[in-house]
Amino acid sequence: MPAASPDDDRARLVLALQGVARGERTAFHEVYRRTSAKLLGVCLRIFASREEAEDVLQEVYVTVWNKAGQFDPARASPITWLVAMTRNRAIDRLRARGSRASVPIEAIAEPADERASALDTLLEAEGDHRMGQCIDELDRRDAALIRTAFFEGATYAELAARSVTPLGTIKSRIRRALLKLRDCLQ
Amino acid sequence: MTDDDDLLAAELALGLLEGEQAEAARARAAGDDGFAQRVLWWESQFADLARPASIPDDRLWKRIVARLPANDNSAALRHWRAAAVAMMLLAAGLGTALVMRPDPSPRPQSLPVLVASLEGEGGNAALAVYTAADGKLVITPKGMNVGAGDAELWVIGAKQVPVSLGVIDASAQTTRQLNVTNAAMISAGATFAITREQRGGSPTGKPGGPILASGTIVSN
Repeated sequence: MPAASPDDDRARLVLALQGVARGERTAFHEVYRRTSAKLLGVCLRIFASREEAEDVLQEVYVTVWNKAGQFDPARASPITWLVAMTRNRAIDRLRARGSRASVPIEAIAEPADERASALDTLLEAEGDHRMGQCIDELDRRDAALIRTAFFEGATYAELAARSVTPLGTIKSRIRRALLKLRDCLQ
Repeated sequence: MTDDDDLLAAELALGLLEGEQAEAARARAAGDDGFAQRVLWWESQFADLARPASIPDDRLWKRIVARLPANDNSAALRHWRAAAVAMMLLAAGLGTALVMRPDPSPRPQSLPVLVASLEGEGGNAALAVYTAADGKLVITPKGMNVGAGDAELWVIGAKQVPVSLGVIDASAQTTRQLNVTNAAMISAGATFAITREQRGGSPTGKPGGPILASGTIVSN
């Protein structure tokens, strides 16, 4: 199967979301088919339990069904919108139960054996895959801080508390890392 | 864009800020397009941090479908509330973002009678019964205060645009023969709403007055 271009994938996902906004079940299934592996990936980074990750994913798709009309393709790419929704939902749940993932910040890193299947690659086709490479070029601890901020919704203050590091130090480290990341991504 | 500005965009996208700083950054994103674009750029980059897992199995899809409004009364109720809120916004002239959509499930072909219980501030305000077989819509009001105005009935379907079904009697049963276009709007999941309009109904073709009652159409 020839790989669809990223623009193609994005356009199809936009069309599918617009179909969902009109209440079309087939469009909804297409959105699910195209995005569920990615969004499950987000949930699994936040919840250790697959069951809990799937619970969140379920809520996310019900929300997608209800709110697809709010998606504005002029403002964000569909996958960014969906990831943001998933992340917010997962972080809300994490906060509601008053806990954080128990993994210490130092241990937060991509699993070494993670391999993208051909299908994953297709699903990923929208992005240019630079982020994975660029974050790997950062100091491991800095990368872990950024991942923790993203996946757990941790603020500067929370990261400082969790890593037992002065707030000022955490801020300057992350800001330096963000600039490196940007230079690598651009 | 300076490095500091771009870092602020990244900090906002990543959720690192708290309190006033977060507020200030959000306010800036709301008013500064260049800055907002950078926030979006960062968001899209961070979204790439998540690597796809394996595709979830079919059970999850089935659980999701089972929770969609047509299969779930509580969700239908939420839809009703969302639609009512959206209508109120619309009525208040704030309706640019009529984003909540009544459940647009296709009309079940074997169920020719559709009903809606329209709730107002004081509880149940009217009952609407539509018989597809003869295209007749019967509205039975249960006490609505229309003051010096008229009560106008609307149906809101999947396109989210209220379509007028005309002025109804607020104190006595009204039977209306729907034309084909309007009849096609009456389907399970669509919403009926009654607004208070000036005598003779809204002159603009859009609801202009406050919502007196609304309710989701369900198949009976």
